[in-house]
Amino acid sequence: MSDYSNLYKGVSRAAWGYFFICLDININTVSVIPSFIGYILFLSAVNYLKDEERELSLLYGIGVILALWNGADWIASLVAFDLDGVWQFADILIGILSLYFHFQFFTNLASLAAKYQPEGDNSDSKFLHCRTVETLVLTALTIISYVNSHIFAVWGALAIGMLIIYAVTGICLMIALFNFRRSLPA
Amino acid sequence: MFDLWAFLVQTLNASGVALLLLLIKRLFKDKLPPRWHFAVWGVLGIILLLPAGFNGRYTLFRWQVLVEAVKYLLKDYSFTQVRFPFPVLLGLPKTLTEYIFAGYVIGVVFFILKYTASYIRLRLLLRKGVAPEAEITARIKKIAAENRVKCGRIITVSNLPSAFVCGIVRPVLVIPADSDIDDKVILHELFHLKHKDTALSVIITLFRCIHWCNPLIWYCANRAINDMEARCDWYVLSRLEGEQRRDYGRILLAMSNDRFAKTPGSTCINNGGKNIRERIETIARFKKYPVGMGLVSVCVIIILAVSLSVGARASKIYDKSGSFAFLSAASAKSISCTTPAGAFDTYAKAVIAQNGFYRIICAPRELQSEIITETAENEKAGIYPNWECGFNELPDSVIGYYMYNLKKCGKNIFEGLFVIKTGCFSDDDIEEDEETEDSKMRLTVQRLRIEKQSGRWVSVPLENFKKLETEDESLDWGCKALPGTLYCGTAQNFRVEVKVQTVYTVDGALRESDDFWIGDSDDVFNTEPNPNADFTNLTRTQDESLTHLGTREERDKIGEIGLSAAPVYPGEKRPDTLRAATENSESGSSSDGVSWSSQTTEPGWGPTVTFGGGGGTFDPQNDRVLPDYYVADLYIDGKLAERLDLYPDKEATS
Repeated sequence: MSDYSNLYKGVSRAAWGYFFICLDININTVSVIPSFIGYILFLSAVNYLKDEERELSLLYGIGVILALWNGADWIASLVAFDLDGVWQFADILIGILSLYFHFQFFTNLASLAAKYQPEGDNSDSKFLHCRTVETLVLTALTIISYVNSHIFAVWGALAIGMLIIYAVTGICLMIALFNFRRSLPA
Repeated sequence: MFDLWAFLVQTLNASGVALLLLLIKRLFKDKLPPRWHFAVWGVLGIILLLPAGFNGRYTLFRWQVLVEAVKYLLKDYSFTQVRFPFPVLLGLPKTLTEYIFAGYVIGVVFFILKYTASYIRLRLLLRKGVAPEAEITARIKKIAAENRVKCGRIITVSNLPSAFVCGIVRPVLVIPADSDIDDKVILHELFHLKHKDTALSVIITLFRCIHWCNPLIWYCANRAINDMEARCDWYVLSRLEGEQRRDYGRILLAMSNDRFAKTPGSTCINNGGKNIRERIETIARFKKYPVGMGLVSVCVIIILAVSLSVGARASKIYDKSGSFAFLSAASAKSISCTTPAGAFDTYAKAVIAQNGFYRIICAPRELQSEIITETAENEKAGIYPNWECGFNELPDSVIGYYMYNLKKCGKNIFEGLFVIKTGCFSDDDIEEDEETEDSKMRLTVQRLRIEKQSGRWVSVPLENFKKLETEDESLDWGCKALPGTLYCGTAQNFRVEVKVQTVYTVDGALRESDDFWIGDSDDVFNTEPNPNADFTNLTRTQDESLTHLGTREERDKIGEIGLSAAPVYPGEKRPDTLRAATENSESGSSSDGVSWSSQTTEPGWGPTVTFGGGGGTFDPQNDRVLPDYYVADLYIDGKLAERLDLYPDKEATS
């Protein structure tokens, strides 16, 4: 890649985007770091990186849907309304789009990292490992959320364990993203 | 599916899932590989096999409300439930809807016969087939070996446009006798063999037959067959390079005008001109998906399969009145109580709110029709209450209700005492309270059975409502005026009794705000039923008493009496020692039911002495709430007079 600034900006936006998606701090019901901003930053990252990693452009449509949905959810939260759980149709659709988006996004970032990371750095494998763990944990959590209420109470404890793994993986991914950005020439 | 309505619920339910899958497939069109696009139809297959509304759950939309609304408008108040995903005709039709259902079943049979005949015709044609020349066999086996595919039996048949695979148990590869077939076409068919696609095509055809009058399911069946072909194309293309891929496209293009026969139990590379054009477009954008995409593909399918199969529990009634009261009735009919606590909570709230729509949810199927008629007609006419159940008191705005002494009486049958605290807000009562300082608590009680019928929990009242008064101030820890399980025994001229009461409470019985009754507390009784509720709290209390059976003179000679008792649960060992119950030992009890207490008597006492007993909270799911029996030590004048076992007194308990 001739233009490192695009790469730097793209990775930077991806890192901050992930920060917005991963962390959730609320005042009453309203998030002060809303997820939809994270998706807007992801879309911006896709724009900067798509020339280098063509498959990223496939994520644009899904990213727009996720940004719109999360934006609508945030606006609804201003009037103490939660869109999650209102329509099963939307819950399932957004759930799998989000799963795919993160998987593909980090697969492509790993591919970029493999090309541009300094020698001895292993950001690519960190991205891939965290991506895989996150996908598996998210799948398990979704399954648990459906079967939890009518099988065993033990699922609740399992879900908490999974959530902790998910949060730790999310933090690891965020650190790996910022580290990768730092390793790039600004 | 025993009637037209059950079929409608099942096919509409599948249609909703089909629409979601089509949307998802559209979004992932160029993002996930063709094998995912075929595999995702498995989710629709699962939904088609699962009875819609099973265990009170729905998938995506509450289609049953729509069906029940139509039924209501046709004045059909019958009970609709999907028990099997296949139609079953139970008898000769009598009504219009039964005739329509019979017509539908005839359609299913017609399509099954049609496809079976088509398959038989193909098999008869294959009888004319012969083994190919050794050179051709060797060539096919080489292709199979190079691509690690098992080959199976091969035959050649004259006048065939292309190769295909036929057979369900032992599929055979059929190639034309009078034309040379390209290796790529043979490889395509070998992949069908490898993935047992002929058997899958039979399943797809079966769904096509069952839902023959649903064009969306037919469309999905066609799409599934096309995706099956596209998947094999993809396998073939992933083994080809540059010009060979273009060749493969040309081969498909050459077939685009050939006739496409949908014979179950067979596969053919040619699946019609329009579909072939789509496949060529797919070939044009062919790419090898990144390694690891398999993981997200599988995860997406698992999430879809689990979330759509499990669905969501219906619990919300569409609260409509006037001309739209039928929607309330329809939504009530579409809800099932999925737990015993849910059936109890729904019944309790139906009684307290005198709401017949709530009662429909937990009523046995034979009563539903009667309740619907009364409730919906009253609602339409603006009559309140819309359901007369015999309870005409003002219930307590905070407490709500209790279930006392719930017992398992058989498989999926429970019985208990439904208790409502009443009379708190009647003006007369308040006046009376002020003037006479009458602190008696008023109760209305009814024995209730909760049982599972046709996969749903229902409530059956066993008697009319009864009114009681008690001097107890609370119902949380038992009530002297209410019955319990009585354990008794006799020793040393004393009758020893332990009365045990259990009190169950349901989750969500209280809510924060109040828009139904005016009350001072922040927490008020939530009148909205929860058909999926659980019992969240169980308290058990016990009271002990000693009754002297002898004469007053004999009684006056006794200066001190004491009782120590411990429960023995099923499978537990009888304890060897109990706490002493003498004047010197402190009285007390533990939450597991062990108690000890004594009393110094005054001249003229008795003949009955009551001890405080004790109680504790338990896990409502715990079966060890009621002991088999009690072990008791009777103390007279500070000495252990006798150890005895106390067994349940069935007559006294009832």
